[in-house]
Amino acid sequence: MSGSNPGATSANPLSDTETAANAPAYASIIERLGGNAWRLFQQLAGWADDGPPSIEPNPQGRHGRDYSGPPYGPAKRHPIATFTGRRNSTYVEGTEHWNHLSVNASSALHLPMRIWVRPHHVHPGAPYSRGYWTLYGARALAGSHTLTMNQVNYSAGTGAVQANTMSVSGSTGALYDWNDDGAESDFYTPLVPGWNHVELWISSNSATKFYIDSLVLSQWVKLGH
Amino acid sequence: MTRLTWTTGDKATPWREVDTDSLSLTTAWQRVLKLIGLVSDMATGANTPPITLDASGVSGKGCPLGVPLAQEIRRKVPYAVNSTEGGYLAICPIYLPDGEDSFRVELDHCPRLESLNVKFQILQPSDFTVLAERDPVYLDHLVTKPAIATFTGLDDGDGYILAVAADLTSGNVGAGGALRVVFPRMGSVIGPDPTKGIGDDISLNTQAGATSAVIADLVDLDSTWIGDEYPIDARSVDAAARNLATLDEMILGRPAMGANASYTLANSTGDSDPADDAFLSGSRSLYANEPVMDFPLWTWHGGVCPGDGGLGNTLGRVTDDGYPPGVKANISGGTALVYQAGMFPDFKVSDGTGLRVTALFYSPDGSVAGVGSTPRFWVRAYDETLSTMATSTQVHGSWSNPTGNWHVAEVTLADFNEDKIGMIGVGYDTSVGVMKANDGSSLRLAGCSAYFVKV
Repeated sequence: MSGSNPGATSANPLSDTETAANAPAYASIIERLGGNAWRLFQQLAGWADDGPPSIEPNPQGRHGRDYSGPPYGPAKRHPIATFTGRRNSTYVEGTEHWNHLSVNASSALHLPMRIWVRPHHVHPGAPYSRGYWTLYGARALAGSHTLTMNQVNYSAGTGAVQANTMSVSGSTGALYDWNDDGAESDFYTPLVPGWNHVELWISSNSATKFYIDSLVLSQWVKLGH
Repeated sequence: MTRLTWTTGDKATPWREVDTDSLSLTTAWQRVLKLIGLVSDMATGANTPPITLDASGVSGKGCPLGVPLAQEIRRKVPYAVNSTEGGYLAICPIYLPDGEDSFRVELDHCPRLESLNVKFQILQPSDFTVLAERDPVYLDHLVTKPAIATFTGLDDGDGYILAVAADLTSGNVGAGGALRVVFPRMGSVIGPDPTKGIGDDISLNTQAGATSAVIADLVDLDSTWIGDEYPIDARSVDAAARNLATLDEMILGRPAMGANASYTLANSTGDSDPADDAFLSGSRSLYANEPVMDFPLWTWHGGVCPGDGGLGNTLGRVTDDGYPPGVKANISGGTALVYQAGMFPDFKVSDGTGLRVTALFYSPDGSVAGVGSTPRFWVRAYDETLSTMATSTQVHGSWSNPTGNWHVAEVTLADFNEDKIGMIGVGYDTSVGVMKANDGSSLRLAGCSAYFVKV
């Protein structure tokens, strides 16, 4: 693929007025069509064999769309950071595996973590600027109680601790998320491109243990406009 | 009707052909329309484009994604480890996606422990040959600082074993903490003016798109529209502009800039159905041949493992709790040793992509797991209600066996909860065997990874 960029700055598509019958045949029309096509080619390919791409570098410092959110392609939803454990059962070796988490009224959880967040275009509402928590767990006994999560990201925002609660119930495993199953929520972990230092505390108001077998921070926000 | 098609040797329009006062050449207009057609074909995968995008960064195939291979959160739990032959603080399979041949790996450790030297290794999964090794890193027991190494020059699109080896002989104490395997590239994060088509227009609502949004079709640009001495008519200009507006949104994932708002794309039914994804995301929603890509999901390590000296006898453990998990009883149908919940991307399994899970098992006594018969590697996918969506197994006879103690198993899941929260369970099924007693000698899951691969 080779060629010269006919309109490196011609980022504006044509309006309906400009493409209508009997519209003036300005040279800029074909220039912008060619320039936009060339720009989109480079965003797809991330490359051109006749010199450096004329498009701006993406947040990774490379060229082309990398699915890190608009305008570098739609963001992919996926886990950003994972905690994976397994509570003891009849079948699993050990009395309580070392990587297992549990919480009750007398024993809160504290997880400091260092997380790399994909470089992304920084603007309000960028998909990778928010992480949402999901956990899989169960009470040791039947019943229900409330979990409280406190979190802070020292790398983003004011560094203030945020708190939210969640009701959990039953002694069989269930999936819980702090985003109300897909509805928009104000409770999220603010994330910035690069390294993030996040601390998480989970506490309980019940003497009954709540076992956490999986705790995941996910890129949750899909594209919308 | 003859579709204008980009062929080898075609060139993009030189600026001099479209500058003010340039001649209105037929070739110039053809080049513009052919280029639009090429972009359209690359994006949709239709009409056998000359370039197939796979996010490998090679030969114009798209930018690598930079999605981390592993970001495993850990409590810093100490182990009393006292193997006679050394061992691993962490060991697990990894898969390098297309376009990535270098990475940075970090392992946290506990400052309360004794200091020790560790070295990072990349092992060949088939025989545990050390392909690359980084000089020992000294972990100071007084400093909370991760051990870090960088590997370069590996083969993308290949699976490896990542190991953090340590001298765990008498007197030393080790810990396997949080594991991160990342591609820490960082360029500009400011980008273009966010007021031009993005910024506030990006909704944080996961229910994406307005209900009245239209998924526009791309129009074939016809060769009969162009000929010597033909006028450049409004029809062809309008079709080209419309295609470009659609492609701009589809490729970049932002609202159309300027006019042509009626062509604005949006997902039609919200966040949970890849089938209505109007954007170029590898979801194969609108176009059956939409290009797909490798995509890492998660990697996990089970903690300290000894070398081939044997887990049961030579490891001076405090309790079984410090080991990687294993199964101690017969389980018909299998059971999970680890779970991973969370959000899954909107790929379609068996439609260009596959969700593959690779596991590394350790057999303490050198035999297969201390079971009386052949175990099965077992992976299950669950939806958000924890209903089973798919189960895949592989019998031990099909596992690769790099050494007497180590075993590598791999399966591809037939389904997963695409674009929603869900869960994967990884373990094994001993329904065909008889387990030994709970003496610490059963098969242990040392590590595993899950990733999407092009199929």
